[in-house]
Amino acid sequence: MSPVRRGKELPIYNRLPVLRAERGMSRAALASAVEVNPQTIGALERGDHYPSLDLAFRICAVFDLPVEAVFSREPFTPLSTQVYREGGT
Amino acid sequence: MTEKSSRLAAYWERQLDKLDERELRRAKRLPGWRTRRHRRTLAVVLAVADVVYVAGAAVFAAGSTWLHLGLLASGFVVGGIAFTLLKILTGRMSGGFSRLLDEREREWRHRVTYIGYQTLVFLMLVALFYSLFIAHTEGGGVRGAMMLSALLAAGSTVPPIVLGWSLPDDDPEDFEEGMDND
Repeated sequence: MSPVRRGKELPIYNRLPVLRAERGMSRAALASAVEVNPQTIGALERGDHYPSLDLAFRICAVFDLPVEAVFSREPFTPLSTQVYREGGT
Repeated sequence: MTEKSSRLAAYWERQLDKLDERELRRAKRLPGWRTRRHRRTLAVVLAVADVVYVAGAAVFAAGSTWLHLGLLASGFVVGGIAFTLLKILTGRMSGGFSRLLDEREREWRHRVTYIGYQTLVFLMLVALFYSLFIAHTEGGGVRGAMMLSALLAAGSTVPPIVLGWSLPDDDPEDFEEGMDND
């Protein structure tokens, strides 16, 4: 749920499943690294919960990536497409 | 911080850690029941048990003693079992300490305790008007107190009922420990 008091709720997409899979990391391991319940990582991946800025930064620190690489307002294109078809940066 | 207060703080931290460990163990109990269907069934059973319990309080001194005791006892036993199972299946979100909850769980707790509070205020108003209505009947004071306690007990079950109705199915992947692509 968005912390914004009024107005349309905008979606926040994330790449958590792909990033976890790349690093062979379970939800429980990521949850332990950012000190939340494993079910909260599942809720983030399903889009049932949007992270606070603090949690978003903690997750980005685990993957050593900038926020825009992990979270976005627009749906992510598959990483492989981005790397090989769009000459990814 | 004095030595006494730091010992108390350390003791409190240890108790919270124990609660946390207990909750982690509890989160894996009854794996076959961790579905929305089972939680909703239990939520309905608990709500019906609340109604039976309140009905038991309503017939106190007005109906037969056996009917009163039967309704109260069945509401208490069935409601107690459903309440215990729901607490296991919904976790600590309906009443855990903030220190043990993460941001999603706190959000859920705020939502369900707010609904519980609003419902309880309404039920207390019902108890108030019921007590005023029967004040001049025989045993009016005791009947009012019985109704007040029954509605208080019913109101305190609202957070687990709302959680039980709302939570989705548990995802088994949440509890998997490792992945094999290292």
